Amino acid sequence: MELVNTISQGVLLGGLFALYALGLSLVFGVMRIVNIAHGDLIVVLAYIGLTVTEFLGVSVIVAAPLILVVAGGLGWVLQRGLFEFVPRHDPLIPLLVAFGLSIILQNLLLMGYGADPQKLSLGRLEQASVEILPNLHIGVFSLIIFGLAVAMIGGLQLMIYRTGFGRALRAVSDNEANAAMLGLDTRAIFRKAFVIVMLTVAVAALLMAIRGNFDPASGSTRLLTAFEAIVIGGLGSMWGTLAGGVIIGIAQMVGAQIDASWQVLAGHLVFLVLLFLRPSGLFPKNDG
Amino acid sequence: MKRSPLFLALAALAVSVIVVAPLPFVVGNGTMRYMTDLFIMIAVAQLWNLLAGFGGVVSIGQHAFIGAGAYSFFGFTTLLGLHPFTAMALTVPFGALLSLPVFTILSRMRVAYFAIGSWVLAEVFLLTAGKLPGFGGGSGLSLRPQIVKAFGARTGARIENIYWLSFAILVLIVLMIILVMHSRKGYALRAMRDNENAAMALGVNPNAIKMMLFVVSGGLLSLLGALNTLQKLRVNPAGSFSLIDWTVFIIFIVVIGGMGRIIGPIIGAVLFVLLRENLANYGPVYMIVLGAAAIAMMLYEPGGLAALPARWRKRRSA
Amino acid sequence: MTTLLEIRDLRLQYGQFKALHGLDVEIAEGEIVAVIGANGAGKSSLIKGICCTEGQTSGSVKLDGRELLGLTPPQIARAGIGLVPEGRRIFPSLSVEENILLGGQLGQDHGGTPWTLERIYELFPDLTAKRHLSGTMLSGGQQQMIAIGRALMTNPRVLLCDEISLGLAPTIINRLYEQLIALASEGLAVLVVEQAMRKALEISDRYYCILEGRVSLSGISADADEDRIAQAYFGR
Repeated sequence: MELVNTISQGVLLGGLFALYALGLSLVFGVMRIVNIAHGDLIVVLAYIGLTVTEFLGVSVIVAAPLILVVAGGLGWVLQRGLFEFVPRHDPLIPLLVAFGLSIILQNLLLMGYGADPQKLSLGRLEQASVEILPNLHIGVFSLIIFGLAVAMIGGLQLMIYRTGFGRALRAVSDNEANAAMLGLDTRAIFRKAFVIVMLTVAVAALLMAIRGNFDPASGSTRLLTAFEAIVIGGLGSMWGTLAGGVIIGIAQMVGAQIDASWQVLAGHLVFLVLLFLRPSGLFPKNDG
Repeated sequence: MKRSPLFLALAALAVSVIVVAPLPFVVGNGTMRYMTDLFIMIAVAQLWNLLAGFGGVVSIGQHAFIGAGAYSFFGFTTLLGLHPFTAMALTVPFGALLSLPVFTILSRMRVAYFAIGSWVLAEVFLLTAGKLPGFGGGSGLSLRPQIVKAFGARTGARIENIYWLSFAILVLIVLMIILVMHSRKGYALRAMRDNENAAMALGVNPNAIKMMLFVVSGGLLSLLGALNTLQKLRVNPAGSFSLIDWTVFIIFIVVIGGMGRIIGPIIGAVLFVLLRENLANYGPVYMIVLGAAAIAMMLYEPGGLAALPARWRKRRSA
Repeated sequence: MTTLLEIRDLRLQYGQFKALHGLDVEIAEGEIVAVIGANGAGKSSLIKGICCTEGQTSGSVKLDGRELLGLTPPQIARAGIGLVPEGRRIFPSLSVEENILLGGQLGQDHGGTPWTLERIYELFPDLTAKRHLSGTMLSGGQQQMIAIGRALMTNPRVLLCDEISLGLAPTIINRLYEQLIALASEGLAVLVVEQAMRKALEISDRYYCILEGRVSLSGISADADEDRIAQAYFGR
């Protein structure tokens, strides 16, 4: 029963990891940028959530729409003000720009909020749990996270495969130069894409901030788990990313059962083993 | 009289050896320690530049090998009882051997994700180092005094010796890079950096070259990690595998100084040290300035400060 | 017949290299105009000059009196220029139908019957059964149909076709050109850039021969004299 409990916790944690990963995967898929700063953007949004809820004195749920608007705006600004100017013919350049951004964001947070861990509160809902099997309790909040992950992946899939914007996104992702030549407004598409990316980042950030502590240096572990979930799942496959997140989640929870210090290492080790066994991921897409 | 670039590079190196090597007779211990740190930093930056600037392989996990060097040096001396000189020499094959499986795993990923993958591996190294028996766990251990004394019985002599040792290793690394860059392999490397497919058509195997670069830099980084341990006098996971010191700062040094040029990391490191003197008290501000400078450099001139004179000359003539 | 697209003194250069040295080309509604010339003569540069995709341009490109030069490719597509690019440029991640629908996102209505998927499938019935396959899984001729369909979905007033016949079998080329003639008879202005000189003269109303970035000869296609064209084509 202990094991079933651990695994179910890991599965639900995997939903959060998949949420971390969605934006990273989109930025790479559409703009071909390896956004090293992705984890830091998650943490920035967590702090914005903290500030907004404290300033307005309302719960996260009430403040969420405003936070989402801020996140979207930030996405637009980042694309319009920074990434739009980054030459992408050499993948090294955007990678290193994102790296610089990552360090800037971490240290801005450090200046603004200090190094102390912070947390968002959701009151009683955080502790609530349901008994789905005898002796198997599952946290309501964990279920909410997982449900949101599934809903967001489903929503993004619909957007990408069923809308005109998604069509344009895929065309740009296939071949940006051709898309531009035919008259697709690639700059507008990239800006919108970054807004959507930041919306996923905001959702992930708020859930992360409610679930546990965060500090200005928390971004790197989020980046690494997001990355692992994507690679395990197979680049470009969002349901694969969820599966990848679940695998890392289970590995971490099982590792934590052995010893708290094994939690993160266990996740990394499982990732490396899977990378060795299945380099193109569990659900590879054959689009090169 | 027109000299070949190779001749000019070697001449510049010789001049700097003549100037820098005798400095211990002039300057004090503090300055010498300071310069030893600078040498190690430049050497690490040269090796990062060798991978990224010349080979197109961006790693965010090179601190893994610095730490591995520190830990293997500690293990060889303290746990196995080897002579410190033997132990230091052994860190090179140790690091090189370690980088083989690392590269094998990382190269399974698409190029773009190599960077984050290398970071994951460095995390694994760091976390594993904290679990190794005999190394003091998370808080680490100090080097035994007799190990340090092998490099000079008195403090002053030791500082001098480590200064010369570090400088010699730096000079050898720079010499190696100069010679490689001006060899046939070096031209193959540049061809690969410019266009991987075209290089393959010419019979260059990009993956084999990248692996060679990765293994060479892995071995030498381990040696530098061991040297750094002599400066720090202890090993511990957070310090020996410092992401900030051995990857973040190093990337900034190379990017600002000039990627793909041998002079780049030297300019970057000197500037970095000067900036640190003046801005270190501001902590986060210093990091923000570095990050912003790196971004500005990437947007304005990806070749870094080292490429600016040529750029400005070109603009004036245009 | 009124002139629809009027190109005056169009120059295009890439850095130091001058690709076009001042071209004058006109197309009227319902007219098929062929632009012929050897490899590197500047035929494709003309298309790029009109679409403003590369290089620095000067001169004037007017569509129904409206200046296009200096507009962005999205604005040019909306203004009524439909592009069938060289090499077809079908997006592999998109199905046949999605590739065609993509065109509908680029243009806007200019009066007349708007193009719909149904009309495209009527024009190219071969595509109907394959509408859900990936665009790049189809044959070259069918991919060319997708590219034409995609351009038509922008509801263009002028259709620019860059090397449509390249790499296709003669029977397919004939079919494609028949469709273009039918489209022109409904009022569409069609500019075809072709290396296949005879075919181009056969299906077009007028022609322009380009040599080294200049118009070396132009006239009514039916009256074209082979010797003079050969001279204008090869430059001797």
